[in-house]
Amino acid sequence: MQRIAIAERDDWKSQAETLGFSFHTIDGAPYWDETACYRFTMQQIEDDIEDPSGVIETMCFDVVARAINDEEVLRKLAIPETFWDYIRASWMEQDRNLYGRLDLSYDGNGPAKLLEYNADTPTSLYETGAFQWVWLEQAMEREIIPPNCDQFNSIHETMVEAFRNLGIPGPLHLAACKGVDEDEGTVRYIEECAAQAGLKTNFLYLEDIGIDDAGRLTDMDDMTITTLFKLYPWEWVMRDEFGLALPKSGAKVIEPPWRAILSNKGLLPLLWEMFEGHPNLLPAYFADDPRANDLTGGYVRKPLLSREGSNIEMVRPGEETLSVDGPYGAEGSIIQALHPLPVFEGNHTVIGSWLVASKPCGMGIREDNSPITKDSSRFLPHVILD
Amino acid sequence: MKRSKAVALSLMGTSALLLQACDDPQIEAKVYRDIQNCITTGELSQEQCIDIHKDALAAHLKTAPKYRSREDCYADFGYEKCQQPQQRQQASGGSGNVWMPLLMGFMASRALDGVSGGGRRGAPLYRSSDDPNTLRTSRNYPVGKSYGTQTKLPTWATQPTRTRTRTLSRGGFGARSSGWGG
Repeated sequence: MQRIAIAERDDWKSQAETLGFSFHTIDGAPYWDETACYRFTMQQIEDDIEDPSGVIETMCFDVVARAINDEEVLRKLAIPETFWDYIRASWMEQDRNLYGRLDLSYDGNGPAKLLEYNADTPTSLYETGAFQWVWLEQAMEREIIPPNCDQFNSIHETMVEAFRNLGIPGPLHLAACKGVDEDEGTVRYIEECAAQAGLKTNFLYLEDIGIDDAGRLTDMDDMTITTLFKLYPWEWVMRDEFGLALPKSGAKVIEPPWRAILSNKGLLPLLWEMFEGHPNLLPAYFADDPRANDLTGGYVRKPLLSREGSNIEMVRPGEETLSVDGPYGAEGSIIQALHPLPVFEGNHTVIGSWLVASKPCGMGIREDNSPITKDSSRFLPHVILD
Repeated sequence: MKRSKAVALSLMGTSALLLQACDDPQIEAKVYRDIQNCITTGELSQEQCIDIHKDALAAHLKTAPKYRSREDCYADFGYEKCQQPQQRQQASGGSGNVWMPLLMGFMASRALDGVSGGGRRGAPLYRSSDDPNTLRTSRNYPVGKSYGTQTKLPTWATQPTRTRTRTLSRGGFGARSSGWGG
């Protein structure tokens, strides 16, 4: 694993604009960054990223199978009791999951460590699956990189295949919140994949979803919604007015309700409890667990429910404590052993390993100037070259 | 291949995109140590072997990775595994201080697409210091570990690069100097 400085394609911004990648620059700061790329060997990808991602997914399913029948666990995860049956039913009925991103700390050597699982509303799918792919083909064509490079990235075709297999009846509605370019871009891309699988699709804003007198969700044409993809966290759904109506609405939702157990940081101590010592896991405990005091080598405190690095506190022996402000943390938090991200030329690098229909199928890399990855962290492309 | 074979974007943005991943082998080739090795395998006539070797030598001068210092070349190809082209062979405008790897073999290649009429071309082969058991083309494409190997490879693997100076500054095989390479 190396970071290699390379030339940018001189026309990448105009390409981004015409290909629907409007959020390539966020608040004037670069988000897509192709002034460098990361190089991996095939063995690093297959042995250290791809295979472990599949193993982690399997362990996560074991956690869900245990949690849905354990009220104490559901309570610890701060999942409202009114949704327990709903979550349980979605697991028992095997409602299918679509996609998720494991965030891993990996420096090219040794086992990748799971930092967290974005199992509900992951973003950066488009830039990983499509724009990064286009970059690779063009960078080889233009001799910016050697022509025999590959990339761990079959996300696009795996997404299309997944939609073919989901068995979605009737139209698929897809919703994002108004006014968030990055979210809308991600959902538009997911719509693109669904359409290529032959599904009839219908994009709308989450705020525009209606409800009829029978408690069914409706779209802008007053048609009922039977399957809804929502880029909106389950924990927020469960506190919304319509969210309370969802279990009786008859609509299937992607990601399904049981994913709320995995997108919760409480997953990390549950994994450690069931699979303590697994090479891809870090020691983790609920904050009120006395064993949390044993993490003397530094730790990271994460709220059960938080996004994009908000409300993260990093306590490092002999160094100042880092923290990021934010609106989360009321539900409680977990403590995870400190495993700092590797630093490449001053950049703190995290690997996002993508699973589509539970199949590991791609990777995206984010860099930040600080040890905590945030929504403003830059996205860099990668290559596989032995 | 660990990436999608194609990515289509037809709904997003203002222009549709359909790109195919491009890595299908389009050349078949047989690997030889030298003219004698070529002749003794018996598949090509003596005359063909000499012609193809000559072709490979010409391509060697044209497409071999080139370095401004002997040390840089040694770093990529090994101690005393580099040469300076003879004065009369140098391309016009050459700086006069150019180092390139020794020719370690050649390939008789034939396009599979039929466009080129099925004629055989010669192409030079090298061995890099970090992976000396593998024969590679001037574009660092591995073709096998032993002479006599029959192989398939993509068209670009033997083509000269279009932007030579830029590629060379990174070193075509240069794991140490650049991060790329074998």
